Amino acid sequence: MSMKGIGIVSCVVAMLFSSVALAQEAPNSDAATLPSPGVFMLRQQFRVTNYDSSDPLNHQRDITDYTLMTRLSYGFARDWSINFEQPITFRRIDEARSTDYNDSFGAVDGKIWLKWRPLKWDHAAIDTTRVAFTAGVSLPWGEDSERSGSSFSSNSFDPFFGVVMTHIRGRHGVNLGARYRVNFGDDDLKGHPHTVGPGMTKHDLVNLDASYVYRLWPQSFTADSHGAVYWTTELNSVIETNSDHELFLSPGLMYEASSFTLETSLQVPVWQEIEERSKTDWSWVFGVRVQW
Amino acid sequence: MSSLIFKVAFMFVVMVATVQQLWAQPATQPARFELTDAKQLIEAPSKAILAVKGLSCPQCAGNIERQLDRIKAVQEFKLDLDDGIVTLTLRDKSSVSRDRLAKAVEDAGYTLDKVWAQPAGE
Repeated sequence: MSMKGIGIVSCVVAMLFSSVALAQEAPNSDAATLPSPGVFMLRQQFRVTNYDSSDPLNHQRDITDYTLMTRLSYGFARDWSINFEQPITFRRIDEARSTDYNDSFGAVDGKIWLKWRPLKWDHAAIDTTRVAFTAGVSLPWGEDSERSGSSFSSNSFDPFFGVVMTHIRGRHGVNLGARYRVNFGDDDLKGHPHTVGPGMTKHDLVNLDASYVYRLWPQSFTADSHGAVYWTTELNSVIETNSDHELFLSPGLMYEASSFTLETSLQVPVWQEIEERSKTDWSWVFGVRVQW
Repeated sequence: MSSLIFKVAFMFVVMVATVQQLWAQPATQPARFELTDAKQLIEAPSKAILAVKGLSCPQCAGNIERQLDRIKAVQEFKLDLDDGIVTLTLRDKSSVSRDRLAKAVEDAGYTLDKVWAQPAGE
């Protein structure tokens, strides 16, 4: 699908959601929220990511990833949840010098982590401030495609930990999060021609996210309110310890009901300094969350 | 003339007695009262009114509803998100303690501020 096509689809989805009404966790950032004890949450996100053809590795090519991410969270105690995430990706590489596409498909490294929310200050009926900590490990069962040369794995168990703060006041919500992932992977992927995603090089990875969530509708909740529409604006930064870094601006929309959430967002880079992998050109995500 | 004065005086006495009687009329229903003791019970047909802090989104409504649904005594749930007021209708001949309601609210991830018992019909 061309970028123009994706843009049109994004606009249509955004228009659909703007006619309804939505959550505090933006599509690309974490929040200090978790399911309550005995409650499951399933989150699925379909993401299309296009990588810049004029990458620093000097390959004239166009790379597009179509990723379906599935996350299952379970609240096993008050203020504690266990989370498992598994993405699968279809990658299409369009080499400028070839008439054929180079396709690969497979599971990307999974992740399992615990989330603990020890700090909570509920100031008023709606206003609250919460802080949560995460710790987990990525599981190196992502697939490598010999034919295309694509790798969906860092080939190592990589621990990560993070902290996230959520503050909500009336119609406004702010989330600030930081996460550090240690990469124990070998050096094989460094400079590999098809190393495209952040975290796929042999470097530690830092994610810094800030999101602002504004409730567009309703202006005030009533006893008859069953849903809400939110406008989200995110700044997502990806920093690798080799000093490669990208900063994205991510506007989006969410509709939240009592048992499900719909979300969409477009990510565009506003600052990039990349030397060892392809630059991200843009990314679009559509997702759904269901609780039961 | 004395007859007229007598009639006016009689009517005045009747009016004062009537007003006094109405003034002293006790309320037909006792007013709602706050539960401050953890073990204090709310018994049906009274309703439980909960003031909850931190309910910031529709998903929060779902979270608290799921936890309150686990209390057998709770028959019906109504939430006003903007004021953080949860109104619970209890099943016939059932009761629930303030302690149990506080546990459900805390498990859902929120803070229970106050609980009132509201007698039926109020």
